[in-house]
Amino acid sequence: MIVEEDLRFKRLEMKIGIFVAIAIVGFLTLFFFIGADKDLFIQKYLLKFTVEKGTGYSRGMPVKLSGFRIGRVDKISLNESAMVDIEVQIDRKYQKWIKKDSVVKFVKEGLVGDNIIEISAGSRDSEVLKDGALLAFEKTMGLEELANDMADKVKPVLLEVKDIISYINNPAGDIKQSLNNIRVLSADLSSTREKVDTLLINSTQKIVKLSADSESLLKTSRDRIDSAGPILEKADRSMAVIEQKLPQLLEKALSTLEHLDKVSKNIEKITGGVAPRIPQIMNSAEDTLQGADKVVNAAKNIWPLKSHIPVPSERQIVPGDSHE
Amino acid sequence: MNNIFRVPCAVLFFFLILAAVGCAGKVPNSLSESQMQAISHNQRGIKHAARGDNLQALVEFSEALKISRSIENSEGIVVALLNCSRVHRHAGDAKAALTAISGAIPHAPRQMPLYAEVAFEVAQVKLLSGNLNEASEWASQAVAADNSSTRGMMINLLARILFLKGNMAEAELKAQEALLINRNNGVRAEEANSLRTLGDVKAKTNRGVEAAAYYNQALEIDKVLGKSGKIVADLRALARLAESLNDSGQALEFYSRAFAASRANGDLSGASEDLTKMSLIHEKRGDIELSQRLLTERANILKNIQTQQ
Repeated sequence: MIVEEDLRFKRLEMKIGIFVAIAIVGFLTLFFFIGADKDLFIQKYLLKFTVEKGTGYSRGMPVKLSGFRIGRVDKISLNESAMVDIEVQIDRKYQKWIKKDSVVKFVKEGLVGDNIIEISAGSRDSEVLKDGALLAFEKTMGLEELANDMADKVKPVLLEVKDIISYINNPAGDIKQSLNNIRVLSADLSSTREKVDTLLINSTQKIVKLSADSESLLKTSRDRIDSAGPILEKADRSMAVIEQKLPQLLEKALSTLEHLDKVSKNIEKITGGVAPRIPQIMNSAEDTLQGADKVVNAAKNIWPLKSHIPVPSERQIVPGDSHE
Repeated sequence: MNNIFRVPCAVLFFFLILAAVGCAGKVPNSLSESQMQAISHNQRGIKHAARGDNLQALVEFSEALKISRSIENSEGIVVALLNCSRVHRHAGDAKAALTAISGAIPHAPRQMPLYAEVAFEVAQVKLLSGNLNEASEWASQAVAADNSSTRGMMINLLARILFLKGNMAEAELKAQEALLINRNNGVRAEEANSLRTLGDVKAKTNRGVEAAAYYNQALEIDKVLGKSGKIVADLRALARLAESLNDSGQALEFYSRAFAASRANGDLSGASEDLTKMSLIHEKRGDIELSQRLLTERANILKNIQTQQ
């Protein structure tokens, strides 16, 4: 029997075996890499937290601590209170950082980046969270909420800006008026300047004239002072004469005052003697007047005088007049 | 002397002595010492009032009033209050005058002879206050109560009030009646007043010629009596009449005379008014310069009045 053998099929089994082995190794390598990427070969533990809305969350979503991925979202489910329970698988080697006071946040990586879950590291003294423990969730504002918040804050400012602009644009407003006034003022400024220039020129001319007048006045004053010299000399001579005669005049005045003093003392003596008698004299005079009055009254009642003296009427009235 | 006449002479002398002693006896005086004092105060007050010293006059009348009140002498009280009112009225103080005369009314019953004077004074005070209706009522009461020589004065006042009320016909009648009474009684000042009222009535009723005649008669009497104030009143009335008859020349002449008389009498206020009237007439006649000159003179007079005050 002739066995005709093709060289290409020589050692075929071995070749297939090598090929299969390579395929298996490749498959295992692929599995290993994918498993490593999917954290299949690391020890993990479970942590939970609850949020109001599940929007933005997805299974496999990365969980980070200080910007470093430490785990992924494992499960998202709706609970009895219509809130969303989220379970995350965390690499156990990072367990020491996640403590009771650690907080979980839903944040966006950058302005246009992916949504991630970020866990903050707990304090040194705090207890480490165990498998299945509940994390505290802190709500952060999303882009929309931030935009709304910003809009709420900016809105009044914009309204104020709008008011200010309308106030500025108001033709009857102060600013427009002031601007108009400034425009008018600046229009008049050139004529005012011309006037001021004229005024300054006039003032300069007047000052020049005034200084000339002052000079002539000073000259006149000097002349007058010079001419006053003889008058002052005369006054000086007169003063000398007065100085000579003054003592005599003063002596005379003094002696006159002495005389006056004597006269007043004499008058005082006389009045001093008479004064105590004045009331007595007055009384006597009154008595005399009363006596005279009685005599006159008696005489009035004596015939034949009494017939000529009218009896006084009680109706002593200020005369009246119909045309007063 | 013969012995035959000695005895009859002695008897005659004895009787003469008896008669002289009898006549020299004290006449029973009806007035008490206090009344006499009150009378003296009133007399002094009247003298002060005549001199224009109203303040001193009031002091005297107040003394008289005090004395009369102390002895409950109604007539004395009425006289003193009447005098007080008259002095206040002459000074232009209607309120004080009314207070004084109102105090006299309860002491003056209608039968009292002084009632007519009291009613006359009340009428004058009301007239001064501008209350013509009450003035007219009181003047009528005064006329009704008075039968003495002052009746003409009372009727004159009533006539004047009626004229001021615009009742010309009645005013003329009353003035005519007063004129007759005053002429009969020889009360010349009131006769002039009657004539002036008649002149006013005639002037008001457009009887200018008759009015001028009455005013001139009044002026003549006032000149005889030497009443400067009344002379000025007559001259002004004549001037007003001439003005109303469009005789500006005559009006100017009368105002000019009134001005001179007022100024001489010391009535500077009245004199300044005369100047105003003259100035207006000159202005109407177109003589602006003279008009202005008169106004300047008037301003000087008013300045003098202010300086005196």
